[in-house]
Amino acid sequence: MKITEQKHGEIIICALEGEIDINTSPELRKAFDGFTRRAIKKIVIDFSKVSYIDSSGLATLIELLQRLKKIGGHLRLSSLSQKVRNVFEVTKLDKLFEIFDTHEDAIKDF
Amino acid sequence: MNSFQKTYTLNLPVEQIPSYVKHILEELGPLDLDGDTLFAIRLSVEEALTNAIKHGNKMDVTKKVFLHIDATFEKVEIEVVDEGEGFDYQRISPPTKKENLQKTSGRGIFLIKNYMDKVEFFDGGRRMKMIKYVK
Repeated sequence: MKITEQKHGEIIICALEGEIDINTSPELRKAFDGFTRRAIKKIVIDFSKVSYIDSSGLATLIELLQRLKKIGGHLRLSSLSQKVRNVFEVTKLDKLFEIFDTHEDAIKDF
Repeated sequence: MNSFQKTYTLNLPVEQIPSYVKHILEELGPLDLDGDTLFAIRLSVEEALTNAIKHGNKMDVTKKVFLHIDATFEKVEIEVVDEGEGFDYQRISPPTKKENLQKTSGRGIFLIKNYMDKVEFFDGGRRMKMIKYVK
């Protein structure tokens, strides 16, 4: 999994590339730990290059959301493929997360 | 290839499940399954194996998981058997309930039930059979 960070003012756009599964989720969790350490409060996760997510990936994102909520932060998800979006819809996590078509739309919403 | 039958005996850490399942899906290649079917099978098999190793065998490295695949152009039947103590599969609280949405576990079987066409449990939850009909 490739994880790229880009700053946009006080917002961090975190672009993921690859598959989020039980093997790669710990790596993602480590990257999210870094956001917490740096007290970053506004994060957009760009899923445009993510082709797969499982329940461990969903759990890792929920952990990040909970941490951000505790410090008054916000998490937005963007650019999900139909297959990945369907995993969020089936589990009703599309109601828990704020999901946008593009990362530009997600940034505008902050 | 008109059909595919194979039994796999697994004794591996959960981190290795995705690469193992990818190898299995490659073996199903000649059946020319569509992308949505492959996604559903991959997700369901990975979730089922994770449950079997983590919750069934409780990460006991002396215990094995058995995976049997019986696939044709019409349907893919998959059985996952662990050597654990079983579980009460009727008492799983739906992860889509409002009070469960923020929980970080409990979505594996729910995903399997949504992505496969038929899911059954036997032997007190130690054996799970799932079927995906091919469109």
